[in-house]
Amino acid sequence: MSRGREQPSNSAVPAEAAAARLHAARRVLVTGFQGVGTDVVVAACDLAEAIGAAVDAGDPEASRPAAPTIARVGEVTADREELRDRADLVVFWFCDPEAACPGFTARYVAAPLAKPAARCTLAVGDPLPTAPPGTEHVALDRDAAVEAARLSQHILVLGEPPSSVEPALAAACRTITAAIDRAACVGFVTDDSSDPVGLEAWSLVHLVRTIAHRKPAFEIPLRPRADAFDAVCTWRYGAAGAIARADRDGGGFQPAEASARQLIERGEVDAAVVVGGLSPQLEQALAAHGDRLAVHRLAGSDATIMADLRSLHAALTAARTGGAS
Amino acid sequence: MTANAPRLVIVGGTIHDPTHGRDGVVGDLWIDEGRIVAPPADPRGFTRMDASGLVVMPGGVDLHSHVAGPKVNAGRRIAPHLARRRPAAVPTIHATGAAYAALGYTTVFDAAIATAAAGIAHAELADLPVLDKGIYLLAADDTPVLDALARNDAAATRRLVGEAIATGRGWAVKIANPGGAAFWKRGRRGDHHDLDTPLPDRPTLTPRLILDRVAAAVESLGLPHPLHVHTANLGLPGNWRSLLETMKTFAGRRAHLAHVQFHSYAGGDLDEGSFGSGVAPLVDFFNAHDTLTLDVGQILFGDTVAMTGDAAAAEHLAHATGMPWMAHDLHLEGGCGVLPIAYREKSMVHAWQWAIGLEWFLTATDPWRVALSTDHPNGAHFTAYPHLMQLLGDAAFRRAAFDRIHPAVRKRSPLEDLSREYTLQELCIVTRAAPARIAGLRHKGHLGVGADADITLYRPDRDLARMFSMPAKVFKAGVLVAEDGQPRATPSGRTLASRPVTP
Repeated sequence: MSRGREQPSNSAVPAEAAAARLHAARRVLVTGFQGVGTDVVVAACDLAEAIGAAVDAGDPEASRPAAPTIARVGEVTADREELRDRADLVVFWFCDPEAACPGFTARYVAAPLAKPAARCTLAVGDPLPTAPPGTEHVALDRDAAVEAARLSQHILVLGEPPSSVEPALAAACRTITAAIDRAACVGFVTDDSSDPVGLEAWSLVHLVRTIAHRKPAFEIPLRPRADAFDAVCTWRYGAAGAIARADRDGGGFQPAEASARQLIERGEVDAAVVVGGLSPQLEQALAAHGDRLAVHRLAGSDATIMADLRSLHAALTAARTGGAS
Repeated sequence: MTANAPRLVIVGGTIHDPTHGRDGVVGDLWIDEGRIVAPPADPRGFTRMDASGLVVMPGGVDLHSHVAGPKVNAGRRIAPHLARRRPAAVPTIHATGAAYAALGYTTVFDAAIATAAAGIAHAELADLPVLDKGIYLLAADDTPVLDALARNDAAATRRLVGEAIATGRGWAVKIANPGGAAFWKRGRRGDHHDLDTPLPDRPTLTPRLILDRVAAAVESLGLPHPLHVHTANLGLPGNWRSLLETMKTFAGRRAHLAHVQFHSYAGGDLDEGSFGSGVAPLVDFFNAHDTLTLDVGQILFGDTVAMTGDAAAAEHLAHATGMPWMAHDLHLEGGCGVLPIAYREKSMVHAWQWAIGLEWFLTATDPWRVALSTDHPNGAHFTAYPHLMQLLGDAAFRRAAFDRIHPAVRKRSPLEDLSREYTLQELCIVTRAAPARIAGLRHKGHLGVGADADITLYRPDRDLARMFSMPAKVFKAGVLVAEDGQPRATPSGRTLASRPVTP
């Protein structure tokens, strides 16, 4: 068991010692889950149920009760290979793909199209130092993301922006829509992980849907991936996180109370088990408040984490039955 | 078979075992290692359980349900108000297993899993307690399969479908709206009146050819369950023609028709005013062709969540109801649509749907070719099966319900004149014996020697809904898993996967 962020290695802490601390804890949080597979999440949930822990990955999806209902209405997504092979216009929509997914540009955007045709790239938002040569830049503040999507959709449908729109925004959206008009297949690369209420995703979905009625168009979301966690947590507890107390007979989805960040910042947990990667937001929370709680990290390959989880679970069972200190 | 299964003899129960012609016969069942065995020469070591006065049936088999996979997870989250109910409209996987077991069901199939989602579906089903489970793969949505079908390359079709079943550990092959995705992507719902319109992107392929060629592939692969067909134009007025053409496509070949209630509507194109029942010509054809089987997909009034691999149908339904919906895309080849829905007895369309489902049940003459289902959760929650069983077995109860529905339907539906009442034996057939036989489960749905010891004991009651909603005891592979609605054990069930015949 370690304090805060100071001890990232699980192997350095004997399972028995970690189990003893978890057993003694008032309330435990099981979190992390970035980039781990389904089996790991299942095993981590088993552990959380054994100790009645809170479960959350810090994924923004879990912070909204019906997030998919709002943010994914009519969402059009595709595989990255579709982007690589078909999209002759790639729009980096307020997204630095290299920050979210290193190597993405080289693998999926710089590669030639399957059909002999030129590929155009457009970076909307901040300049992208890692963008492919020839990328056209449309400078816009992130705060304008929703307006830009809505206005671009308006222009595509009605032709001209309303006269009340700020000229710089109107010019930017004309550039975007002109590129869309020239393209045969449009792929939007997005990363809405910092989108607090889902409006960015919602507005872009509508833009993509509008285009998709005319030509192939889709979105490649690069948000932090806790897909396995979202799936397992939903089938076990009915929500993709913010579970107040892991219990397969009813998990208690409490988005305002049981998100990992809230629990850490309010000091409502005194121990945390971090399974796999941790989101940047939770790393920050632990950095700021980690001295209040004991943190046990399980890192490495899925096989390694599974083995460590089994050891921890067994040691915890022994601790609860008085078989270990 | 089951390490903790005790040796058990259930004594003096009133046995309903239609497969072996036992219709309310008092007898004993001997159980060893999770299976039913012949009476042993030496009965020592068998625990005796007195079942005097109880009705004994095989464990229920749900041939067509939606319990796992991406669409079900989406359904769990799309309507928070329905998630908070008990039971939730789309329960968690553990609650699903517990509720099925408490109802006396011991086997369930998820009827629509995209090949690409098979892995995650199996991971979820591994968390499903008690029940044996399997999945039907949407193997004919994959681009290479469609290409092979378009070339009429039977060998390639067979190989690709077989590979999908093997790698996806599927039990059967399902088609959801043949070619529908191709039409939908280009802004139309498919052809309304026939199955012979070429696909926009494959001019040599039609929905009928997809059905015919995939059914042939399934047959040649020796899969235990025939092609499981959700045909075109689900939910649209006038779609009875599509179902009739679908049935004709299979002339002489085995096929299973899914949730026929949703495909049996009379009426003009998108004309709700002429909406009505198209069951009569369909059931005539069905009754005359014994290679066809079906499940009904009965709707029952109340709130639920609709989910389908036919995203085009979900979009239509969303537009018709004004409900929020979500489309879950899968590699631009398949997908699913999910939305909340409320069935109201005062809604004319919903009342028709209710009456049409019951009309199918009451006019299909051979219960061995009919499986009871609500297409959970599309038509209703599976925990409503006892209510449906009372509608089938109690004409007075059905009449009282009929008197509450929309008056226009009361005036035109033939349901009023149908006085048939399902017997206990027939209810046993449509809830376990027939679904097991149709699915190709040799060890389920009956109580003969060698059968899995999946057994449900009911207290006889004239109120069939009460009787079937609270079994006295439920055994899964010989283990007592529920008693008077309370869980007693949660063993893991088996995954049922087919082994395609290799050439």
